[in-house]
Amino acid sequence: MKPLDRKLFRDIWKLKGQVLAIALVLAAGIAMFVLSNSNYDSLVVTRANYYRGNRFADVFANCKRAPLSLLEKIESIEGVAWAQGRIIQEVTLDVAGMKDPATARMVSLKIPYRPGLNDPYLRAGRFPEPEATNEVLANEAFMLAHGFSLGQQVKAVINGRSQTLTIVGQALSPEFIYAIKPGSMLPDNLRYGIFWMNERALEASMNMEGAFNEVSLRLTREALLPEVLDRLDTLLKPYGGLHAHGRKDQTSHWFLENELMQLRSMGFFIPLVFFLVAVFLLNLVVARQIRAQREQIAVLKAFGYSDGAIGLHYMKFVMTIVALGNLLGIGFGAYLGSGMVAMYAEFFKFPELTYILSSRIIIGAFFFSSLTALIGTWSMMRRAMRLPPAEAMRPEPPATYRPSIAERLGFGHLLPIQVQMILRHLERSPLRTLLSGLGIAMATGLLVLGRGNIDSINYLIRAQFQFIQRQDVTVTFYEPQTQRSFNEIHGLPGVIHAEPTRSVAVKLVLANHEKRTAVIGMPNMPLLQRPLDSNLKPIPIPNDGLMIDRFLAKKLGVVPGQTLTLEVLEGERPTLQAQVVGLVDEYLGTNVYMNLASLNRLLQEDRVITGAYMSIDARSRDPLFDRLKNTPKVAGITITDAAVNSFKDTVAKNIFIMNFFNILFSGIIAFGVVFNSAQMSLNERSRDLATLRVLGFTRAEISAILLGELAIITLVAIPVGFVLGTGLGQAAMAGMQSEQFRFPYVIQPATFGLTTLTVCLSALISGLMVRRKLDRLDLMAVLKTRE
Amino acid sequence: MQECQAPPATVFQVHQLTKTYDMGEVQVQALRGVDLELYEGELTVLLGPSGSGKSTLLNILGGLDTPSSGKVLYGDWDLTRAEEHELTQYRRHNVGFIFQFYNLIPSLTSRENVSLVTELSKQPMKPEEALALVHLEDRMDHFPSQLSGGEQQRVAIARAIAKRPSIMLCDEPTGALDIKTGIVVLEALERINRELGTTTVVITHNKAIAEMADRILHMADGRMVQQERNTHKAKPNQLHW
Repeated sequence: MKPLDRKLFRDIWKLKGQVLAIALVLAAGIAMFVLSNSNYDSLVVTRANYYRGNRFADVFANCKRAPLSLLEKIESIEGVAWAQGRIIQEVTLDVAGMKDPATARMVSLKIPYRPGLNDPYLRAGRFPEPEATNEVLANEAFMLAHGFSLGQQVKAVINGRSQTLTIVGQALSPEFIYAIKPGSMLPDNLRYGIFWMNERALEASMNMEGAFNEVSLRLTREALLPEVLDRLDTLLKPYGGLHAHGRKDQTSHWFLENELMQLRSMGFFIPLVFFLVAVFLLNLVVARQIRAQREQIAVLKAFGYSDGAIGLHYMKFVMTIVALGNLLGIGFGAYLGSGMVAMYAEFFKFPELTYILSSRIIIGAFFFSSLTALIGTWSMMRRAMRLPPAEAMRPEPPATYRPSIAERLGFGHLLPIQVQMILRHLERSPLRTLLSGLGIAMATGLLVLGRGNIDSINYLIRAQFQFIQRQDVTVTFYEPQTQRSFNEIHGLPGVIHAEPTRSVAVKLVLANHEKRTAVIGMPNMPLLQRPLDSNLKPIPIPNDGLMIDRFLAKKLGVVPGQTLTLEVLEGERPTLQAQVVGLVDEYLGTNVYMNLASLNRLLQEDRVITGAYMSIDARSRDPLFDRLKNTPKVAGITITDAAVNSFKDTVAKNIFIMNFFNILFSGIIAFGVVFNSAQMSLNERSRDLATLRVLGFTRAEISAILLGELAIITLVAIPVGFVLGTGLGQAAMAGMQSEQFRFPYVIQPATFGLTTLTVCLSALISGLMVRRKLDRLDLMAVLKTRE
Repeated sequence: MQECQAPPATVFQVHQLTKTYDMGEVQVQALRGVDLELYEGELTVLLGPSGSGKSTLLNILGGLDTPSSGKVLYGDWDLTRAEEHELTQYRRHNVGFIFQFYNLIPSLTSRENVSLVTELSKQPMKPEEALALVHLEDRMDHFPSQLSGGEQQRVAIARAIAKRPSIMLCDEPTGALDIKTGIVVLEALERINRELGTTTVVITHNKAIAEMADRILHMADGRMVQQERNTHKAKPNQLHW
């Protein structure tokens, strides 16, 4: 080994604490980078394989009932390679041992099995026998949620008739990676299952012989999606077709895509913050190292080492730390990444999930971290290279100080001398003070960002389920019903209050904007599902006109007073006009409300309803659910509590993991910044501090001077971090607004408390570590040397 | 005349002092059994070449270091048995240090460097008063980087005396200064010793300085080799080197 390299290793060993702290900050960023990007890659590849292997369709459309002969016409649409008709129906289940009503989606399957679109993947058991009319495949998540094994029997009400089904196979499907009940926001595997049934048997039960009510298409590579959708809509229109949509709007795909996008953005933004902090720390250490080694640099140059060799020497110093950070970060990131992919596999139910950590990611991590590190320390290395040997031989001129801002403003005399020392020192290197503060502010900001997300989600749950959706149960009917059906279920024992609702699928059109959604008819002053304003105050529904969700209104570019065109997507499919009379603020979905009677009038129908919201007496819950499950008209029963719990369950696990890494990584940043700043101050001021010790200052007194400086930086940086984190949080939330979820940006005071505590604690720990060194200060050695 | 005066009180009694440093694999014997007494109001110059052990002795007297064996009595208090925090208190209230490289705090002005110490003391002088004693009345609000070496050392002297220490320990106080500035500094030390009666120990390898001492001690190789009383005390401005 060359002597210069030996010096390098000894220098690094001497600074091991600081080197490790910087490497850790860098490693945290790299771990995040590797984790997110490798998970993204793994999921994308896994999903692509899954979609390909099981022939996930490109286009989906529902209709009421279309003859199978229509499929040929559909297949002749330009760009369509394959059209497959299926029968799909939501049915209520009666699962032995479970009081809550559950829903299943029955999907027809060609038996004997032959490859089709959206093929289920058989995980265990077998396909139904051709002759057996009651055998089904069930999705794995549902089986696992119930602890079912093959052979399990489940009662289902299909087309008003109760049928006992036997589960003979356990399956997965690219169509139901997220199995979400229509109208829900999150999967609830206990109360929602997917059952594949022999097409013949389902046809017979549903009176759908020779017909289909769902069509899936595979497109050719040259196909133009919008044109295919248009042509398909036209063909299906006479058969009660609901809108055709591409994969983009397929529920399961949409959710998965969202998750992937989040990984994507996580893999860029957060690592960047860590890289920046690490670069700042590197800059600090290299600058100090070069200052302290002026004379050594001069001697080396005097002996004939070139400027380039000196520059390379310090570049190696930087690169060693970068390499250490990469080693730790890539290792940790790969470990976490494979663990998280296993979690995803569990959650998404992929048939096979392989963890892919491509060399592209590893090279990317190394390249970007090296690049930022070298850019960040370049000016320092150039300074070392340019140092003329003769000048470097002379010690650096003594430190110059000037009165601090407090003194220049005229109240310096009010401050104790120790505080003045601290202030002058902080002001002497303003850039470093600023960057140290910024580093701590970033750590604080990251914590506020993470905790703020949690607060917002909690607020959303509270607002949605305590103020907006106050019903305990939502009942939906198969077909529009008369008022009598409402009165029947209203009269059931255990129902405290019920409100009728009429939901109609429409396409809202204004100029060239359009949106498919549902108009919900309800009483003027509903008590259960209530339209609210932004202050969570209920808004009465006017006798006439539409109340439209603010987010949707913005999207359509409509303001109250304007008239919208409503293309009704059911029944006679009339095209109607209605005026927007007000806006409502909601967090889930994009609802449009209208007075029930007025909606009935607009649709030129009798007093028709499609469902009801009910509050119930908890004591009568079980018998009531029994009655509802056995009411043939009832297509679905949604229990608000269950919805909230499933939401919380899904979100809670993510939140816990997010929170853990958030606190860990922010702690690392705060620790890295404070430890390095403290170490740097200690190096620079050990002579001053030793002098003070000799003059009779106690250890505590000199620690106060050293750590006081950091305390001031930390305390000033924390509020800055609050502002930073809130800003970032708002920006992140703004990016997350979708038609499905709109997160209000809310931060609980506890978040600020917890953040302050975390940052102060990691600052304190690093401060104490440096303090230990202070206690071992060699007084005599320090006094004998010239500055 | 001398017989009429009471004998000067003993400030330090040093008995069989040894100090061995562990320098990794080698042991360095810095002190090999030193005996010494220092008297109140005396200006003592301790002479010796580098490595003779004079700094080690000074550090032990100042409570910065502890001996390997032997005894150091300050009055009747045994320094060698003191706890760390007792030594800190001892330095805080009783000892004034002056170093070769001044060791001022660069972020504090002259006045503040002095008041740093007076704030800790029980009956200090005013910082202004201490700075006046070393003729630095007009440099009180200057930072160290704005002062010459001699001026910085005088601030250091003002800082040492401001707490009215019972002993002043000076380690090569003129070592980093030219002769002219060095003499100004020595004049300040001499004046403090004369006017305030502060017991003063100066260590140096500059023999010329010994001429201003009451007593001259010679050290070599960790031992006290010679002690002499200076009967022809010179004024600092009479010194040459």
